[in-house]
Amino acid sequence: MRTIRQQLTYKLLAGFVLLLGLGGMSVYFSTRHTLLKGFDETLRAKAIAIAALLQHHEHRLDDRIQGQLSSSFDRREATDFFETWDNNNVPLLRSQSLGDSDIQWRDGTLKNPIIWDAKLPTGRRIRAIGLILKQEGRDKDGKSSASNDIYLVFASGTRDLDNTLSILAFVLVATGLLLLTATMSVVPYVLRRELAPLNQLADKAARITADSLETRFPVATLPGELAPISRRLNDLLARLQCAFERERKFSADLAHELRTPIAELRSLAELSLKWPGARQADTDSEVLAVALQMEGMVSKLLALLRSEQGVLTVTSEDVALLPLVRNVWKVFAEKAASKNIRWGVNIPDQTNVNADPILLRSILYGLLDNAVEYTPHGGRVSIECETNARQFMMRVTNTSEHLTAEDVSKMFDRFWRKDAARFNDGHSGLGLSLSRAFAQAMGFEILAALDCKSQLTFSIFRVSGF
Amino acid sequence: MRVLLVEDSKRLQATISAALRRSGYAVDVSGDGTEGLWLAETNQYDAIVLDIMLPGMDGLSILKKLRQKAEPQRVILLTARDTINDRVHGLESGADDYLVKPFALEELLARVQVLCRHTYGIEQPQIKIDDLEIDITAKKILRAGRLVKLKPREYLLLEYLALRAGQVVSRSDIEAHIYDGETDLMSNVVESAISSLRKKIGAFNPKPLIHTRHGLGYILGSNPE
Repeated sequence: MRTIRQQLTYKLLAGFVLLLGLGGMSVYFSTRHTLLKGFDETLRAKAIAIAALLQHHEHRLDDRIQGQLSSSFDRREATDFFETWDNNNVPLLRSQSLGDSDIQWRDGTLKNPIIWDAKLPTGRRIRAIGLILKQEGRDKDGKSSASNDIYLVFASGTRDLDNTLSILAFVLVATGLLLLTATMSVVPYVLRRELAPLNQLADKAARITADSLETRFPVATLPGELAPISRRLNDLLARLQCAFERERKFSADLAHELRTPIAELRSLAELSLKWPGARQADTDSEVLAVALQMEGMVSKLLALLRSEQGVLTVTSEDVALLPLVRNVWKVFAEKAASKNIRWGVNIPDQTNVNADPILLRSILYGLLDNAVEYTPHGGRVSIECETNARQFMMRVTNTSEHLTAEDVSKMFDRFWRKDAARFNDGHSGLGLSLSRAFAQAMGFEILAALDCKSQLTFSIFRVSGF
Repeated sequence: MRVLLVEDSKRLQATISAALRRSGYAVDVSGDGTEGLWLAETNQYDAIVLDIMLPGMDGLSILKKLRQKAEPQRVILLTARDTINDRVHGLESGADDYLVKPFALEELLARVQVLCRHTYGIEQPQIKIDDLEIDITAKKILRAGRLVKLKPREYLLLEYLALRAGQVVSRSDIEAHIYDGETDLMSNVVESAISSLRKKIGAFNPKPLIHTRHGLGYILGSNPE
């Protein structure tokens, strides 16, 4: 797997090598151009000086002149060379430094001389310039005759120039290699150092488990590019933590709710086994009651789960509300009467609500069950409804006691009960959660509110836009 | 031994109290925290089996109130809360033991028995007084190496006297620890029980072990002085 650091290292090094090569070549060739230009200027000046000397002496160089030039054209230490020819390509003069060698002629004029590189038979590299010296011919009487042009080639050895360029090339290559070596060490180090926060993020993320979801990534100390990522990861962890805590609480609550009925079953069975004579006549019916209680809890949990997962089958039809409410109330009427609970209904006749009839009945059952169970002796339970073409609002209100606003905020939590003690009353703390889940599956919502007179009201309404 | 059970589940009330009674304990039962506290404060229990989640007042609050009043009763918490923190919190609140639901009845009975023994500073389940041997775990009595058969109430009385061997045990103490709230205590019920017990443990060796201290109570021991 290639890492960002590796990719950056390769690309930075490749870019550096390219830039270094281009830079080195630019330095080399610009220096070479400058040096050659200077060399050629000198070459041209020397050639013109020789040409002027020859013209002055009418192309005859006596020993005195030759001697003057010997220092430059000495055969042993020669750095300059020249050679002349007449119109007929007959050699006229040549420097001693040439020895037996010849320099190849190339056309050029005094005004536009030609400069070229050449190599002497001795292997020596030279740079030469060719000139044509115009000379008017004269006869014995001094009269003009046919022209007598002289062809001059002047050359200088390029050994010093070549050495200079070689040294320059060597210095450039050596410097380049040195820089490349240094860069190959520095770039990975710098990248490793600057990308360390990424590694730290990765290390921290690797250490996070389901038991350490409270971990948060640093934001303030991170580079600007990584801070948003860190913030998003923190948001994700917060959501995961909430979800895990909710699930843990649910599991703990579920285990807690099941422990007591299981303990009841176990103690009933163990008592009968240890002391068969102590077996009560109602033991079997008690066992059945516990089993039914646990079955009811499991059924509610499954319904809740299906509803939350959106796999609940929901139908929709016009349901006559008043007959439904009266029908559900019949279930609780006897218990309400035993507690002297007053009952009131304010639902107009012919009120229909478009909903799933089974789910709506379950919601009403849950709310009325809760109301009758927790309304104190002599209290009141009422149900009323307001509806028009666009809105539906039903309120179930009951007298409450000892309830607080905090209790109301937790009422729809699974397994929540005001009194932590669990009675054998068939209530598992799932009824209100289930009612809300069913309502939401139909596009309704249920809210609970407590007024200053301790009246607890559950409002059921259709969510707009559903 | 007299035990108080404070538990809101009617079924657990019925089964645990039946098991305790079958094991020879006098048992008082309450399903409400406030009533449970009142019972614990007004009676002498050798052990209290206390649920944590109770209507009226929770078990931990009852425990704290008992400890604040320096009540010496041994308490075993019975609860569905099973986390380490719950256990630590329960024990730090003054509980002597902690049992998580669901539990085995045998285990509960064994723990209650240990608590009752500790109430009287007895570490071993066997008590020997002269040639009388009492096995509290097996509920077995041997006199001169021979098995003595006792009724449950007689066994309870002997066990209680044995746990306090060498001490004068008053009639009211016996009533408080041997009989529960449902027993109708007649004026001579303790004397009758003592008399019956003397006969049965004296069947294999006439040497008296239960001695009367008039106006004070009874003492179990080989030497009446």
